[in-house]
Amino acid sequence: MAWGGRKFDAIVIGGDHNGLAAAACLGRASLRVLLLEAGDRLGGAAVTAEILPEYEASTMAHLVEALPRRIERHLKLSKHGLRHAARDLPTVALDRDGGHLVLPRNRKDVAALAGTRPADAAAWRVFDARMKAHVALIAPLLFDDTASIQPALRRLVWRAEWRAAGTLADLLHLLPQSIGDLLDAEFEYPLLKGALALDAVLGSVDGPYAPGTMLRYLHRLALRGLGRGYSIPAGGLGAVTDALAAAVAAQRGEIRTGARVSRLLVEGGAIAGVETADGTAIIAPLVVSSLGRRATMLDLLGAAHIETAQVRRLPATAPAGSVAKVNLALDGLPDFRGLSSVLCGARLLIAPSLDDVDRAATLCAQRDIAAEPVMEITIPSIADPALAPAGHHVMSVLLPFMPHDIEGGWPARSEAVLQSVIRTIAQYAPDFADRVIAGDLLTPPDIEAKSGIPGGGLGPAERPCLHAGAARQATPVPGLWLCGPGSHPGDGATGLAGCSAAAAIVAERRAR
Amino acid sequence: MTPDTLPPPLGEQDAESPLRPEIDPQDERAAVDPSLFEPPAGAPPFERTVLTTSLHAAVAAESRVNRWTRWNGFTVAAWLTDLGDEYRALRGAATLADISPLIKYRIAGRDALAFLDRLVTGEVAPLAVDRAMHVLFCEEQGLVLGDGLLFRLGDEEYRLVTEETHLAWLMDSAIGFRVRVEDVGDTLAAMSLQGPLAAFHLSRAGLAGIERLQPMAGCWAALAGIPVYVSRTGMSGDLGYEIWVDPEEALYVWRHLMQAGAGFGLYPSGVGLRELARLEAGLPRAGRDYLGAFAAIDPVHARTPFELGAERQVALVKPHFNGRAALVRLAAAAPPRRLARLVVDGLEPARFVSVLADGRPVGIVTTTGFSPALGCNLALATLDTGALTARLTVDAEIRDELAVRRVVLPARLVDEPFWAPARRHAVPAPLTA
Amino acid sequence: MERHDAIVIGAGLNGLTAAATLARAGLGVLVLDRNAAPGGLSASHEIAPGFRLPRYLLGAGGLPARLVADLDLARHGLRFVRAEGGVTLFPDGRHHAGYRDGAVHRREIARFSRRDADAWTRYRRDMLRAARLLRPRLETAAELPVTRGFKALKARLGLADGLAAMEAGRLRDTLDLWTLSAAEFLDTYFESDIVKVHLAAAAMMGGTLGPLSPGSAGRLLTPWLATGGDAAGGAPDILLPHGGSAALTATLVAVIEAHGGRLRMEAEVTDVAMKDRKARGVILANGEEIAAGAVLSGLDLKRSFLSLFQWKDLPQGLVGRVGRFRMKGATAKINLALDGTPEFPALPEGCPALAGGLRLAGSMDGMQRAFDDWRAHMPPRDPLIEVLIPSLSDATIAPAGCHVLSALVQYVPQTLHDGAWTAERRDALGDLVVARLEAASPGLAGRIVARDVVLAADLENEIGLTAGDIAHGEATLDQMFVNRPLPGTGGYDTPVRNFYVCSPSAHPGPLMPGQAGANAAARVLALHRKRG
Repeated sequence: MAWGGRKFDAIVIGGDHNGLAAAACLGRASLRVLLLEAGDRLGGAAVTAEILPEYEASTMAHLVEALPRRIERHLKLSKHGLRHAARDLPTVALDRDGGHLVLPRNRKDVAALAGTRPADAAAWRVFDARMKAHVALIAPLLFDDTASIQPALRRLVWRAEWRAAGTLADLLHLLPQSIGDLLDAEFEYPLLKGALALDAVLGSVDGPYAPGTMLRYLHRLALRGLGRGYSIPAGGLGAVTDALAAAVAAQRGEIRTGARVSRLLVEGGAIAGVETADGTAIIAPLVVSSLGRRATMLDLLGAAHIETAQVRRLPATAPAGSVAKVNLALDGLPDFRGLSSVLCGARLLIAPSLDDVDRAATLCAQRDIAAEPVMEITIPSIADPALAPAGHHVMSVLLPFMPHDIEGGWPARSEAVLQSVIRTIAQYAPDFADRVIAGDLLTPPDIEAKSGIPGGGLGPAERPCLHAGAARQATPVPGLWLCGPGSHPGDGATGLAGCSAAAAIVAERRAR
Repeated sequence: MTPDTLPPPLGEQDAESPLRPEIDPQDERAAVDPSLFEPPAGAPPFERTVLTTSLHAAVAAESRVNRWTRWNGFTVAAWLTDLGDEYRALRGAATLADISPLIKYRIAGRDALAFLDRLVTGEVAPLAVDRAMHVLFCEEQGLVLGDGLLFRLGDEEYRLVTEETHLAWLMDSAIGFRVRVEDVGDTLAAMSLQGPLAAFHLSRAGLAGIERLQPMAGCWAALAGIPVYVSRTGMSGDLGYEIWVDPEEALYVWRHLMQAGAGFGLYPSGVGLRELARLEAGLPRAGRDYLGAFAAIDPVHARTPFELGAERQVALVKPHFNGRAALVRLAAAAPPRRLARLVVDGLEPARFVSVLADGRPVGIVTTTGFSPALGCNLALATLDTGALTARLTVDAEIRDELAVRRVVLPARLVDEPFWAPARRHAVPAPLTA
Repeated sequence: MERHDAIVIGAGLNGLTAAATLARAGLGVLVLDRNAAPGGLSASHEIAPGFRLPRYLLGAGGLPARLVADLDLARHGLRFVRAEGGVTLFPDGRHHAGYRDGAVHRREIARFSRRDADAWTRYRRDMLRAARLLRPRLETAAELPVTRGFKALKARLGLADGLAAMEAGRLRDTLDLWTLSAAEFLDTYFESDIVKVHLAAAAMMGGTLGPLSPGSAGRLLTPWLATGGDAAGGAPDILLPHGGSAALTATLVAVIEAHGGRLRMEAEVTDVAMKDRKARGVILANGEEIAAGAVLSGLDLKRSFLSLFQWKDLPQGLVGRVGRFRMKGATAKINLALDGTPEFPALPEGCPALAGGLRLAGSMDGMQRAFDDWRAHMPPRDPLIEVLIPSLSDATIAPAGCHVLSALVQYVPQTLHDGAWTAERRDALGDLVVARLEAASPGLAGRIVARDVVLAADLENEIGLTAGDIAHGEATLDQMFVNRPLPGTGGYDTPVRNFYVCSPSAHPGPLMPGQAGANAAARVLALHRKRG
């Protein structure tokens, strides 16, 4: 075992968006950081690659959803080259007959909805206010990293008190509920219900009628409230990775790729450093891992350093299902019937009704896929023409509820799935099939292999935890922190888990 | 256990050992077809329910009083002749008992040591091959799950012998280690030869040089030409050995020992005597004197090692092991309760209801018994630490035909085990018949 | 006008329990029921000449032990038998049974996994701990005061403190139990599919969640709540009234009448009489009005409010809130009259666990698929079936040598996606169930004298149970505890003064049979004493 030379204050394992964000945040706090990535490229699920020569797309994650403005500014990401080609993207639920629905973000949108669906617009106002009230209640919990939950809960009660006497009771009623039941009770418009349901469960394996999906929805709203809605970075998601890497470098952080960590070094019950696959020991009192909880605790740290009960609670190796991704090169903009060209660049959802979302989830649990899958579509080349040759476009389609082990095996099924995606979109844009020049499907196993993250890390695989202090960044081994999938405050390609872990580390150092 | 993998047996007594005794079926006192009552392997309950150990035929043949009890699901003898006679044999000569219902796990693999070091509270690394140690294992809050005897059989092979089953915990603890945990209860029979003449009986049975075996040590040997593992261990608090053997051949070994001991005071004994001897030796038993943390529905009934008085078996100097963080915290303060040994005045056997200090209840009695040798009632009790210095009395019930008399008897705390002769650690004197 | 201290609408188990509790406390009670005989869902019917059994509901679950003692049922002649914990029979002929005795039960588990036999100890501990924690909260109202004011605020802060005071591990375990699926929860204890399916199948009966649905783990707790026998170490046993629910009903009636209460059968309540927005009595179908200080409704929540009141009399928004209370029927029942004894050759002879119910189940995925079919409003292709043969322990309900068999069929939708439950479809379901029974008990099909298929729709049409939901409202966490019957209530008071809900639509719902009635009566008594 050779000594790795330079001393570092912290080592970050894994060069995905969370690892990079953690490294950059720790660097900002004047720590000397070393980031070790096992693969030969950075970014995890946030990368841009070519579909065909001259056609580029975000290979896996395709939208920045909840990158807090605070963090963007804190890490000076714009100085490091991050430009948003489009900000605050509207969400459009596509309708087969052209009566598309823009999910209301402001009064104007609600008024537009009221024109066609007055009852649903009225219900939306009530629903929106109710959700906002609850998000305001729980959002502070997400960043409350005091170890004891008692003061946090008391504050929650006081905040609820300040709003209205019934708020707390309503929250207790909402959290365990299923979003499907709530939507059925509040709304009539199938398109609206389908879109909201898909929003709540995108990326998880729970269907919209699974109890507890309201918790997911509120959690997601709370996270989304931190950023400014959806945005498309110029140059695809790879640009976020590049900006984060530049931010790390600007803080004199060091990034090594092709450096696989083989185990963590523990001395006197605390973290002492890491050992890489080539036998080099690198000493540091802090190690932050963006790998999965199981991989970090069992494969790197080793069961000998944690309690049996903790091993037993580690999540299973892979979730039963997650998202798949289709990237397509198009020789022109598809003509979505009834969709204005401005809205073509929006976040498009195909989820015609709650039942369609529900069926997708049910079929996923049975290791199968619907003939007309639900999906989230973006055409980033509208906002960022550099991604494709002039007049041509790239389309990026995220497919939720894709089983990890599909009946019959992915190699046999993937072509048919790709065709069913094209066929489904063609129902909304009749000329679509002719526009496709090339395309490929990344299955959940592909995404897992490419990103190096179990479950792909594109969706919230585990059930969210509302209280940071009770959450799972800190480990029983002093000096070892987690910022990967399943760590607080949840996932999606936001880098938030990385920043949150870094903040907790800094807070703990200050307390000492 | 195939003979070709076994180390050479102890001594050179193979040639002189008597031949395997021929068993004449007519000689069986319990000459009943066992298939009439013993269930076939894997049969559901209520098909047939009497589960017997491999030594059952021999024990049944020795039983004069037909007193049976259940131990870990097996039907075993409570006593075979008279508890008093068996007791006198134990303390004056030797007794042989079937202890096959004990739970036995084989732990083997490259990480066996690392696995055990994380599992138990004591230091396993210094344990040499063919040595045994008493171990405790805790869950994450430092509550004891169980205790047992850990034998090191080879460089990467151990055997853990416990009172209760712990397979789920052991298998969960094995996640992340290259180690195999197996329940070897079906493939390993055991008998316990205890008493001052135990070494004498073993050497008469053909194990010359057995007196050189140290306490808590074991060795491979041959009895009646059958490979056995002999360890100088036991629950009697006295000189004693335990013999571990393939169940197929256990009967022969039992008969061989009984024949060799005939005329020298060797008595077969049952579970009743084991309990009494354990009480005299002051050894708590899982499930009786404390509940494993997974069995205690009310956490009040689970115990930390400190409450069991097992401080010396908790090596806090070790790096991480299960429950360490909690035990470090617990070690800083005096335990609120403590397992204590009580001597209670009065010549009559009595049942104890509760322990009182100045008339106030301060604890519960978990094991009681009348010690013939000491001529008094003994008890293992869990008492509030604050009451340990007070004047203690015991609320006792004495049965008088149908009536129950309640009496308050003075009690006294004893630090040392009630029965702890020096010979349990000494080299047994060579005796010749 | 006739006047009583309290009127109870509906002579079902909870109505009778409420009436008995009130009568024992000295109140003048009148129980009204539109049927000819008391018993509600569990009233006995003759399905063929000489064959009697409760046509609608025959649960294996018994009364909570504490309630039996509180109502002094033993003194009024009711005897109980303790039944062992039920058997699951798998399609491949294997079976797994629950036994009271810990050693026997562990030996039973060890047939499939020695590891799991040991894991049982921890499972049992955690279930009993959770049950002990929960039971006192089920025996009283679970109110979360929603009013403004210092006292209510203090109560709310107390709830937060109570949660926070739970030791972290305990809090996580409690949350796990109410948020995980039964399959996920059992995975943290057991490895053998047989053991897991056995526990899950018992828990899923009568509910509206699948074993893979989040939140279904909480149902695993139900058998542990009612049992008094913690000591034996094995599966929880079931306290069954000797003579079945008919005997239980008769005893409750005897208690009521012994304390001066009265029952009037064939008296259908059509309306609650209102004055100044308060309930002051009931109006019968024949127009007769009876006054009462308190009106307790043993009907489900929807029927209580939507059919007993003029909607204009109800506070604003209540009709909508009640309408959103989810009630879904998922259980059908097939009653068979047999001219012989059904034999189950795969079970050990004389297996005592049979008394706790025989379940025919396959796998976790299979159960979930049956659940998925139900959600898609399709008849189950592979249903989960629970068989009880009450005549095995009570020879009076069938002719000599004959038996009645009740098969609860799980995940049968109330309505179908493509039309009505026609006679052919009923028969198809009956045939499917009989075919499954025949596989478990060869020769059974040939012994059938009469067959009676009872669907959720029949429960709604014949006895007025909304959606035929035998749980009186989905028992998911958002409709339990403080959320039952309506969010933020958790008690028995309703927005209409002097009107109380004492059916399982109220807390604690189907978790403890009869408890909602007793709790509601306790609330009425407390108010009665306060008002003098």
